[in-house]
Amino acid sequence: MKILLIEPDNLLAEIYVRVLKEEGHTILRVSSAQAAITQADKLSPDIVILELQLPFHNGIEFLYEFRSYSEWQKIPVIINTFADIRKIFISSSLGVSKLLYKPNTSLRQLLRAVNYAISVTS
Amino acid sequence: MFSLKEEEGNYLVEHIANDRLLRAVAEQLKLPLLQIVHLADLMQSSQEESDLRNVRYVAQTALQLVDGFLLSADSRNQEVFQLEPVSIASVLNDTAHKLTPMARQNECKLELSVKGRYEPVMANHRFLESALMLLGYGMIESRSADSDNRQVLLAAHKSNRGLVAGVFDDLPAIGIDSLRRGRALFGDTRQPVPSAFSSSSASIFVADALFRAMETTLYPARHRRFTGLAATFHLSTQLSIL
Repeated sequence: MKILLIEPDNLLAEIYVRVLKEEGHTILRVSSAQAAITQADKLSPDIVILELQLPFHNGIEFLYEFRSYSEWQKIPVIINTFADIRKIFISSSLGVSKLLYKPNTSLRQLLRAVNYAISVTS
Repeated sequence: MFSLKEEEGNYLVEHIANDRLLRAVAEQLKLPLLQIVHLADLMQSSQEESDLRNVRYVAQTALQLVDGFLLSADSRNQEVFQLEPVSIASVLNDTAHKLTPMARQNECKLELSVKGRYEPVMANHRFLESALMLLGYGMIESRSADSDNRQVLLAAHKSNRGLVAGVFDDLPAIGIDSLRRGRALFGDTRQPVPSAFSSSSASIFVADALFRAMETTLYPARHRRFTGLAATFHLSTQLSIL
């Protein structure tokens, strides 16, 4: 599966890439919303993993733009964020398949969320 | 002379500022702690030397942030803080050396740009070193970019107002309004300077507090073609004799 990872922190990104690659996925990592849109166009990802706290445009802005293209409306998006998810309202129209709070999410839980999203899509 | 009410007011303002800074620091500390947790998970299955190195470097970054916060909270204590003649060039040199592993980790080219000899300025060695380190951390780590070969400069130059020292890079400039808004919002919001930093920017605001303790302030500045954050220290002809 092709995964677009939108993660601003280099070390965390390196860790996620390593773990996801071990599972046999192809990963493309970007650190900003603008780059994510450009790369999504090139990669045609099967899944997106998104941090909401991004420089310039935040993850919600990315989601609105991403979902505005018809070919990306069904692609599962997993939010994995440092933002307090109890205080965030995300419209169901944005089609977020899983909302994870980073400090409480182990690598295994992230993988489980990815595998679940894959199983639902396929 | 201060009245009791004024003193109470000052104490309250300082207390609130420290409280906000503490919340920003706590928010930022989530990142290194999560990195350590994940690295520890990885190390269960693989014994890679680079993971161990990363754990060490992440923990050191976190310690620097905590230490910087404690220094800033202690700036009124004369046993901890006193102005003294400090050579900025030498502090920048030490800071560049310490920041090199982080720059490497973040695929940045870190350069020291201190041309010429500068006379000492009135500052505090420990505060200045901590402030520049934290500023460096903030500029290197929290300003992620998708471009390769990002350049970060630890630099000093003379201006009409004194000696300017700071950290600069080749990413879009941080505006004065963004910094001003960030100062008003840090601790209350998770991303106070969203146009420039993806984190709580605690390291930037702790550095700001340390610079303020040294009677100067952090502001957006320019060095050659680079932009960044810097502080100006007044040059004294008396100190140049020392």
